[in-house]
Amino acid sequence: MDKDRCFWVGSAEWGDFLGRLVGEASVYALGGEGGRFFYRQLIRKDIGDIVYNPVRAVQPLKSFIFSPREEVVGPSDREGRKQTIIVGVKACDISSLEILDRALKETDLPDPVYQERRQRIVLISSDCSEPQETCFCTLVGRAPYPESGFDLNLSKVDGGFVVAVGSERGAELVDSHRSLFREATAEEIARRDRDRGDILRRVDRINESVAQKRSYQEIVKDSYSSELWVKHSESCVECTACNNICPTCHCYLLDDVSGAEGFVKVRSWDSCVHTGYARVAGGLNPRPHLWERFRNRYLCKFLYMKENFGLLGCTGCGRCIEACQGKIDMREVLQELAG
Amino acid sequence: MVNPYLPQESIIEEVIPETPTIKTFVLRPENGLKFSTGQFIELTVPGVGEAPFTPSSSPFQTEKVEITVMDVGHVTHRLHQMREGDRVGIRGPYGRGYPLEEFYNKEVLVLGGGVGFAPLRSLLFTLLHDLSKYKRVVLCYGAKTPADIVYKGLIPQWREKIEVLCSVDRADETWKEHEGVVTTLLDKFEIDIKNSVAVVCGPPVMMKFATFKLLDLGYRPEDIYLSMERKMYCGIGQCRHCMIGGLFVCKDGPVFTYSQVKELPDIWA
Ligand SMILES: Cc1cc2nc3c(=O)[nH]c(=O)nc-3n(C[C@H](O)[C@H](O)[C@H](O)COP(=O)(O)OP(=O)(O)OC[C@H]3O[C@@H](n4cnc5c(N)ncnc54)[C@H](O)[C@@H]3O)c2cc1C
Ligand code: SF4
Ligand code: SF4
Ligand code: FES
Repeated sequence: MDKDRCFWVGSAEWGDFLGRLVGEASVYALGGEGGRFFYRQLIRKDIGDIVYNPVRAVQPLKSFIFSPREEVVGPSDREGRKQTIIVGVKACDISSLEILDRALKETDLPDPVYQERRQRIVLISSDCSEPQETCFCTLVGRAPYPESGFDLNLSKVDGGFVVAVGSERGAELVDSHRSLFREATAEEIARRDRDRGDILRRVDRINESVAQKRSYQEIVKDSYSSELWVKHSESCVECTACNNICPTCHCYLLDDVSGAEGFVKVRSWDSCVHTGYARVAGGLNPRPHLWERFRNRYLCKFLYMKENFGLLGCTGCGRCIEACQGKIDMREVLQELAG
Repeated sequence: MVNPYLPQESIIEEVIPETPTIKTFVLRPENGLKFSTGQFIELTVPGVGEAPFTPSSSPFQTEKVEITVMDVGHVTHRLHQMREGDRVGIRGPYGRGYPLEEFYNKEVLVLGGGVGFAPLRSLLFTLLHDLSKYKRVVLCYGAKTPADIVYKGLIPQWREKIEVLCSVDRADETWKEHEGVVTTLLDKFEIDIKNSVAVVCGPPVMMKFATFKLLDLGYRPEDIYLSMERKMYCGIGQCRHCMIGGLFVCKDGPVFTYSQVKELPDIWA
C-alpha cells in the first residue's frame, strides 16, 4: 500500500486497533486533564480515556529516545526489544525529531543508542485542537498539525478520525488491520483541512501581539551585541529547566563509571545555561556571565542549529515558557530585541 | 552497528617526564592508530573519564601513538599517576588536521607555547619527513621558565635541519637564549610574509597575542592557522560543548584559519 493515503476509522474501531497493538508493542498515549497531558504506558482498560487532540504533552518526545542518563558503552543488551508506539504526538514534537535525527543519527558517526531506539519508535500523531497561550509554532514557520515525519496521523472528524499514512510502516499497520479502516471521503478530508485552518488561525491570534516581521534568525543575528540580554536574563535563576524540557536540546556529557569492568560510558543531558558547561580545566570560560549563557540558548536555537541542520532549533512548543522559574517568555524577549 | 563511544584498548608503554607538570605517554593501541597530523584523540582513563589530546608523535608511526599531557584536572591528574603497563582507551582520530598541501613551497613559521608544542611536534615530524616540499621551516617556541621547556632532547637535533628560536618568559642563570614572551621572537628574523603561513598552538592568551602580532607583521588572516581549544566530550560533533559560533571545534577543526573564526564570538576564551 502507498503512503500518503488517507483512511477513515470510527472511534470504536480505532480502540480495537489500539487494543491489538497493546499486545504486540509498548504503547504510550496521552492522558491527563486541565490542559496538562502526559504520555503514559497504555493498558487496554485505559483506551477509552486517551486524549487525542488538545495540545502537546508536558514531556518532550526526546525522553523516549534520548534518556536523561544512560549507558552508551557497556554490558547492556539492547537486542530483541519491542516496538514503542506513541499515540497523540503533536506537530511540534514531530519537528523536534527532525533536528535530533540530523544531530544524532544522520551523521558520520551516529549515536548507536539513539539510532536503535529511534528505529523502534512508531509515531501516531494527531492535530492540535486546543492550542494554549504558550504555543507559537506558527511564529517559527510550522503548523499545529503534522505534515510529514509521522507513521500515522489522526485528525478528529465526526465520530472518528481521518488517518493519514506517512510512512511504509504506517501503511503496514493499516494494512494488517485493514478491515477496521475505510478510504476517507473527499468531504472528510475537506472537513479536516477546514479544521486545520481554524486552528492555525487560533495559534496566530494567540501570538498577534508578539508576531514579528523579521525572522527570528535575523533578529537574533542582529542582536548579538544588544544590551537587552543582561536585562532579560535578570530573572533567570539558572535552573536549566528550559534546556531540559526543550524537545531539541541534546547537549550531553560523557562519564566513565568507576569500578566497572572494561569501558562503561554514560551519557547524560547537560545545559548550556550551567556555569560549568563550557568551562575548561584551569577555569577559563568562554561564557562566564549568566547573560552570555542565556544568550547562547537563543543563538543556538535560531542561528547555530539553522547552520548545522538547515532547520531552526525552535519548534514553537512553548515548553520553555511554561517551565521558566523566572517567568521569561522567549517571544517577548525576541520582540524587544527586534526593537 | 559501530559504537563511536567505544574506546580501543591501549597499553601505556612508556612514560617520559618532560617538565614538573608535563609528561609524554607512549601508547600502544591494540589495532594501531592511523591519523593525520593535527587530528586529536579522546583518551579514556578507565573509571575516571575522558579528555581530548593531540598526538605529539609522527603520523608515520602507526603502531604507537604519543601524547604529551599537562596535569591540570581530574583526568590528566589520574593519567599522570599511571605507569608503564597500565591500560587506557583511545577513540578517534577526530577532526581535521593541518592542510599540509597549503604549506607546500612556502615558508612555514611554527609558533608554540607551553604544552601547545604537542601537536606542533607531530607537525614538525611530518614537515621533516620531506623537508624539500617546504621552502623553509622556522620554529619559535616559548615556555614560562627553562624548566618548563618540553622535548629538550629534540631541539638540538632539529637545529641541524631547521631554524629554531626559543624563549622563556623568565630566564635563570643557565639560560643563554632569548628572554621574553614568545611573540618577541618574531622581531629577530626576516621572513617572506607574502609567501608564508604561520601555525600557532599554545594557551589562549598566547594564541591571541601571536595572532595580533602576525597580523601586524602583514600576515593575511587566511595564512594564520590556529589550534582552537574548547571543552569537549563526544569529539564527533554531537554534544555541542566545543562550539564556537556555529562551528564544531571537534569536527570542523580543531585547526582553523583565523579568517574562519575571526567574526565568531569569544574565540580567545
Ligand atoms: C583538540 C584538543 C587537543 C588538546 N591537546 C592537548 C594536548 O596535547 N596536551 C594537553 O596537555 N592538553 C591538551 N588539550 C587540553 C586537554 O584536553 C585538557 O587539559 C583536559 O581535557 C583536562 O581534563 P581534566 O579532566 O584533567 O580537567 P577537568 O577540569 O577535571 O575537566 C573535566 C572534563 O572536562 C573536559 N575538559 C576540561 N578542560 C578541557 C579542555 N581544555 N579542552 C577540552 N576538554 C576539556 C574534559 O572532558 C575533561 O575530562 C587539548 C584540548 C583539545 C580540545
Ligand atoms: S547549546 Fe544550549 S540551547 Fe543548544 S542544544 Fe545545547 S543546551 Fe540546548
Ligand atoms: S527556565 Fe528560565 S530561569 Fe530556568 S534557566 Fe531557563 S531561562 Fe533561566
Ligand atoms: S566535542 Fe561534542 S560536539 Fe564537539
